[in-house]
Formats: sequence, structure tokens, C-alpha cells
Amino acid sequence: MFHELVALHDKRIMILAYQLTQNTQDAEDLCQDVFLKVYRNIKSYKFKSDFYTWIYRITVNTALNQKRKSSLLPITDIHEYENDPHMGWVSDVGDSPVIDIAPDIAIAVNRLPPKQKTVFVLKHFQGQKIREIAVILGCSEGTIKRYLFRAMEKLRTSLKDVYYD
Amino acid sequence: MFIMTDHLPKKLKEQAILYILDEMDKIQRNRFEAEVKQNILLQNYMDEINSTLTLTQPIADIKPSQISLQGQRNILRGRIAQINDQETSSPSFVENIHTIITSIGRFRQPVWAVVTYVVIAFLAGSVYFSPTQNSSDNTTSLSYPSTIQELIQSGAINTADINIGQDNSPIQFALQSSSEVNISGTVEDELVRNLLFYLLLHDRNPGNRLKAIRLMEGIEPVNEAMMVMISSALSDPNPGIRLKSTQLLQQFAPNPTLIDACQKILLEETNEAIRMEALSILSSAPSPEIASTLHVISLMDENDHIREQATRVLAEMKEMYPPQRIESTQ
Repeated sequence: MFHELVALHDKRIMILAYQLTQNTQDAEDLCQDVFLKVYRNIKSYKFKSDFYTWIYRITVNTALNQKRKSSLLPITDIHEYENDPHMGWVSDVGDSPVIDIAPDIAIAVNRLPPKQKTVFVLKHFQGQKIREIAVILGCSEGTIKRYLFRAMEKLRTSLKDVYYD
Repeated sequence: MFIMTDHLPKKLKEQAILYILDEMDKIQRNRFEAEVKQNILLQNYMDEINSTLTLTQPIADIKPSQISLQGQRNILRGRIAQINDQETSSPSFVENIHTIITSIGRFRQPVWAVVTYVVIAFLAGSVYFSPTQNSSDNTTSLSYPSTIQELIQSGAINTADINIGQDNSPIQFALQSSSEVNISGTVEDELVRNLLFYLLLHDRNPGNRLKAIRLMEGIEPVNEAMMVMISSALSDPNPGIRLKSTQLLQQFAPNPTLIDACQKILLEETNEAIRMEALSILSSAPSPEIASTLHVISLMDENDHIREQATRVLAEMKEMYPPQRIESTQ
């Protein structure tokens, strides 16, 4: 039963995990952690909120916690697929292999402060409404708008050279 | 142009972002559109925001393949099974060895089972129970241990954390006991190799076992490595790790032990992807000895592709060998 639930939701969560971590190996690890948490805590799910909201909240909180921990550790990144950072993943366009994202763009997104990046990902990549993001992150809509504005401004500034080339 | 847009009032910038990201109601949108028509600077700013969103869009287009998803589901199944097992019992190292040996003992083919037993006993059991050469000087020798025995006796190996560096940089193991131990090297180093073998067979953390088997991709295809991979392919509780181990067995020239193991996998493995890998190894060395297995698979396997593949290999074999040689094995 639980594994059917996983099969129903894991693709979406894995994609979100990748967008938050920008690394397929980290995304897979994050996704594993998320579903283990869901497994351990499924009894506490009260059906008051949408299941996706609940699982999204677990995903972003786990990602934020991992980011916090990794910034405290001397050894940070474990990139298993250095030669092929997207091994086993495909582009959304016709299942073709992933075309490398320009490093400038990936770096710019990755350098956003964790909460700004999370809001940007949820809004732009996941298409969530600001009120939904506020529920997921447990913040007010005003706070989410501030994070979003700062994230967009930082990205605009970082990427100006790319789109003026 | 860019500098000029920087001087736009913050409020207008915020509105522009909310407009582009569809977070305004109809009245707000109409009001904002009227403002945009009169303000070239604002139009430029919106172009910049749109360009930023377009540039970052490819990140959203990356998704896991079905194979990758299936692999992750398998790993999760293994981890959950492990959690459930741990809740009921917490086996000791010796019990783990016993479990592996018992599970290997269940297999029908006796020759390679005995060989595998011997390898595991040698690799894991004997090093665990053998005395260190310098037991009075454990602390100093642990600063950079020379043998896996020292590591096992220190208890540090139980907290192994594998860190894989970039490109060809060394594999790093961060271990902790009374003191911190860092081991660095490539799969060419005996200690690193043995540590990977040990972790693959005994580490309780499936993530570590998966890293260990992945790192073995570059390993020299020697008999010892093959035996460890066969053991993992047959007995690891995690299907993802069994799959990876079976995939790596492709690099070895087929020999009777490997062929026996692949037949075993083909007949008893529940995971289709692993059976496909085993069949692929057998297909590379079609011999009359595997005909009976292939015949069973061509009729009984639940997977269409595997049945077709087995039928195809059987047909190839019939062209290569006289019919009586094949029939005599069936």
C-alpha cells in the first residue's frame, strides 16, 4: 500500500528535489529521506491539508535542513556522477538525454539563499501559488513575496551578462 | 539599459514580478498594464525578468527516467524492510555473517556456493577474528591503518562515510572511532579495495553499499572482486544493489561460477531488470550447459522481453551446436 503511494508521488517529489539540490545524486538521497519520513509519520497525517502540501512541506524542510547541516560540515558535496551529472535522468522534451544547463545559470540559481531558492523553485518551476507556498513553508504571503522578489532580483543581476550576450 | 532598470522604484519591480508570475487579480492586472504602456523602463525591466525566467526554465525540464525511478523505489523498499527488521531485532555482526552464509546455503548450485562461502569467510570472517599484528599499538596504527583488520577491530568501519572526489581524485573514507580516521586512495589500493568489498557485503546502510558497488566499476576484474559481486548480486536485500552488482558482473569473462550464478539469478530473482542483466551475461557465452535454464525461461518467465531473449539465444545456440549436445542437457 505504501509503495503504491510512493509510485504515485515519487516522480513529482524527485523533480522537486532535483530543482532544490541541482544534483541528481543529492536529489535521489533527498527523495529517499523524504519517503522514509513519510513512512514513519504517515499516521500523523491528518487529511486536513492536501497530501501534496504535506509531502512538499516535508521535502522542502528536509532540503533546508540538509543544506544547513552541509554548510556546517567540512566535507560538503558528494558528487557521484561527476562525469555525467545527470546520469539516469532525461530532459522533459521527448525523453532525450539531458542537455547540460549552462553553468552560469545553474550557479546563479544554486547561489540563492536557501529560502529564496525554495520559493523561486516552488513558484517558477512547480507553478505553486504564493498562498500555497506560504502554507508549505509556514510563512505569511508577504514573506513569500519578499523572498520571491529578492530571488528574482538576484537572478536578474547574475544573469544579465548571459542574456545581453 | 540594465543600469537604468535598476533605478525603477522597488514597488513597480515587485508588481512586475507578480504580474509575470500570474499573482495579480484582474483589477490589479488592468491597472498594471496601463502603467506598463506608459513606462519604457518598466517594459525593459519586464523583458529582463522574462529573460531570467526563460534562461532558468531548462532546470525545470529535467526529470528522472523511469529506470532511475524504479531503482529508487527498489532502494526505498530495501530501506523500509531494513527499518522493519531493525525494529524486530538488531543482529550482531556475527549474526549478519551467519545470515549471508545461510542465505547462500539455500541456493541449489553447490560448487560456486561453496566457493562463495569460502570467499566471504576469508574476506569477512577471518579478518574479523584474526588478531592484529600490533594490538598494543592500536591508536597509533589507526592514524592510517595498513590493513582492513585494524579497521575492523577499531570499530571505525561501522561508521564509514564514503566521499567520492571529482574525476580521478581518490576515494575518501571518513571513519570514526576513538579518533578520526581518513583513508584515501583508489581502487588500485588493496586497503581501499578490501574496504569496498567489506562495505558492500556488510554495511547496514544501503547507501554505503550502493556507493561501494558503484566505486567498483573501475576495479580490475579479478576473481576476488567477481566473487564479492556474485555474493552481493545473490544475497543483498536491496534490489538496486543486486542490480548494480549484476551489471558489473558483465565485465568478467564468463566462467562456470559466473554462469551458475547467472542461471540462479535468472531462475529465482524476482526483479525483472536483474534477470535481464543475468540473461545478458549468459547470452554473451551461449553454451549447451545453459540450454535447460534458457528453455525454462523461454516458457515460464513472466516478462515478455526476457522470454523472447531466451528464445533467441536458444535459437542461436541451435545453430552453433549439434542438436544432441543441446538436447542432452535438457
